[in-house]
Amino acid sequence: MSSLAIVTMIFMFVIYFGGFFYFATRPNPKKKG
Amino acid sequence: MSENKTEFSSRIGFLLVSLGMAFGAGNIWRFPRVCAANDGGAFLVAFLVATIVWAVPLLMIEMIMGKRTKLGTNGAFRNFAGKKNTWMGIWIGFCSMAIMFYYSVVTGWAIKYFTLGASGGLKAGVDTKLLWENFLATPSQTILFHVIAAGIAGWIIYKGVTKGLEVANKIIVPSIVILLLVVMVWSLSKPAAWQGMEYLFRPSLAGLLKPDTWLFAFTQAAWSVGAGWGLMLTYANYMGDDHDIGANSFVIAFADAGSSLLAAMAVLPLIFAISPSVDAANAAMASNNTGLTFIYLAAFFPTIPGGNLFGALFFFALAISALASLLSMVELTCKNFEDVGFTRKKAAIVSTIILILFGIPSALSYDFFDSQDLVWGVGLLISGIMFAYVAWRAGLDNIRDMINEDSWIHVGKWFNYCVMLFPVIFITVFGWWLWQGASWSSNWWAFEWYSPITMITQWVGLGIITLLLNNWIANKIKAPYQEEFLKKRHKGGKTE
Repeated sequence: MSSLAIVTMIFMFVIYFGGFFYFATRPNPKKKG
Repeated sequence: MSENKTEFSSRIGFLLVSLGMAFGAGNIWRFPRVCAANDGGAFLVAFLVATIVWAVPLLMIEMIMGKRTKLGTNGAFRNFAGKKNTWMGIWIGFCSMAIMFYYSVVTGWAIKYFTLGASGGLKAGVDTKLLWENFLATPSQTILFHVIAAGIAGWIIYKGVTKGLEVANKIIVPSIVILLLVVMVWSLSKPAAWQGMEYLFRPSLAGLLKPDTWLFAFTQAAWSVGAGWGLMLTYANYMGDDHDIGANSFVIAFADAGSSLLAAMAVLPLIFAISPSVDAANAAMASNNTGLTFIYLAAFFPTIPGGNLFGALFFFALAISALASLLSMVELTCKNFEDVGFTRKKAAIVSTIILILFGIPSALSYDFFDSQDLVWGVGLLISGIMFAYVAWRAGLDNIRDMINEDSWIHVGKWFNYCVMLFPVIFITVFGWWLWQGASWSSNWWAFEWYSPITMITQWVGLGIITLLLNNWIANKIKAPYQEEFLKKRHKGGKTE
């Protein structure tokens, strides 16, 4: 695997799975404490 | 609003059911192939953009319609878009039902190949092309496995939302992820597998400038996430009052995209790992969905140590992915029957009988199946634009306010801009598919399997039927018609 493909893979991982975890962990603003 | 107390037990339950709906056979057998054929890395960028621009706003519109009305596609359109526009909800419901009919057949194929793999029926040296053709030419087999798939789906829906749908998806969705991870790790342990990873992640700026990359990306986003089918609208009926719309729409979209990526990381290295040569791997990827899966992969698996076991696991993952999506389509049908007064159990039985009967033509003829896949797959773009019409009619700011009232994140003006782009996306992608259909036929006006006139006739025919059924179905829905549902909003009043 070329180094450019490895960089692309890491970038895609961060965006695809990072996006998922970011939105999955948003708290409910109506719940206090 | 009708009193409907059925709710998912938790946010996790809702998300797993929704992901089961979104992640289907297309994620496993179409996404990796289309991604590889369209410059890998460039397609991954285009697909994510397409998912956020097309699928996320549609998921939000569907969710607010389902959550507020607590009705299926027919009733939600009646109450949100006005009585005379009920036909749009009926059209969308029929479109998803038409997909359900042949999707059950696909689920049956995957179950059949899982049983073949598990029983050692896929041996080295078996002519898998002949095996596949013989299977398709044996109606007793194709119908039997279609009935098995429909029967399992019908039974789960019959059990109810929490005891059937939610429990099934709590088992199915984590199983799919684990199975894909197992297949991925196993394939990546083979030396040739990394060529598949290179194929998947090769960066290509030139690829981002190709129209085909974007056309395939928007098509995949429209089909893969399940937005615009009416499925999320149906599931949103069972959301709790405090369940969020904004963040959940993104979670479902990113989860579908992430699992598509996972599927590509399992399938592409797998093809290179088990293909006897690079030429054979390229031939496998150049074939269609069924060719890749049931001919090439079925032939390659038994040729290497441990291949039979992993072949069986692969087909099991395909079967349960297809089943989870099939469940959402049966639920959509069932909910529309419930809205006109059927009990849950009666609605589930009637939906299953309809599924079995109308799935038989696709089980009998591959050409019919393939043609229906094209007609109603492209038809989903029409469904999507109908949802956009509802949002536009309600007022984009107005519907965004409603979404924000039920969201844990703030949905900004970008939502309006995406929905405003819908007509441009629709005309471009829809027109491109019609043109594709013309290139697969002798001419536009020949009634052939894939010709534009064959597609248009079915869409317009369904349009006429749904217009004729409009008033009858609108009046049959038991929940009261809330003509002022949106008008009150415009005046700053409360909807509930």
